Amino acid sequence: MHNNKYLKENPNQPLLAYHFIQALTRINLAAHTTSTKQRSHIIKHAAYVSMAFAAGNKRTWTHAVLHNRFPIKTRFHRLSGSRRSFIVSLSRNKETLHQAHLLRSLVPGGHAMEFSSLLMETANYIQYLTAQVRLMQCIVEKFDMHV
Amino acid sequence: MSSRRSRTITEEEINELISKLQSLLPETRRRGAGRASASKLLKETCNYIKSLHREVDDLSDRLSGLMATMDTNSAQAEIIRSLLRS
Repeated sequence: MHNNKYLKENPNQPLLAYHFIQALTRINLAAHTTSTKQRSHIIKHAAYVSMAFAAGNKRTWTHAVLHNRFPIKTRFHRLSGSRRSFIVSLSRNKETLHQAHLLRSLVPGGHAMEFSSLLMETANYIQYLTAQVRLMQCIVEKFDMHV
Repeated sequence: MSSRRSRTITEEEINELISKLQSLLPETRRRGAGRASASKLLKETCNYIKSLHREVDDLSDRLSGLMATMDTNSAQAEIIRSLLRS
């Protein structure tokens, strides 16, 4: 079924590493022209871009990262009676609505998603974030050894 | 307008998504299972994402500092080799 692909995917680690290291190479070539702080911002930007590249353009969050703007608001899907009532009851809870709103600010493109998409995109986003963090930790360790 | 079957979200799928989110949180951030804690789960998810963002910031700082002092080619080749090995 269409939605299952969100549940099964694991981050493409080699692709993530490839993009990020390529970016680091370019950044390092220009290292003599940038301050440490500037370079830190550029590296951070490269991290999110690599994540988005590796995750692919089918995700709303990757689109938001790569194009630096929210995508066109997705159509709200019409739910049949009983299914709709679950989601409505979930979002009638003020606290849940509030937390969902906070979450939307943290996930790129979050404000343009309906609630179930938000959950799927968040799961995917977290997977890639943790993979990216692990990659960067690994690189830092290696660099540390050679200094 | 006809609604395409493949796009309707069932309650089961929502539950699956919520437990998947829960499983992605590190052990220390998990709370008891159950739909009643949906807002707690969302809150922990927000906190987790914020901490991941901070880690990316921190690691970017460190990488930047390390770049200032190292010889690229050997370290880089070593990294690529070891990452591709795993």
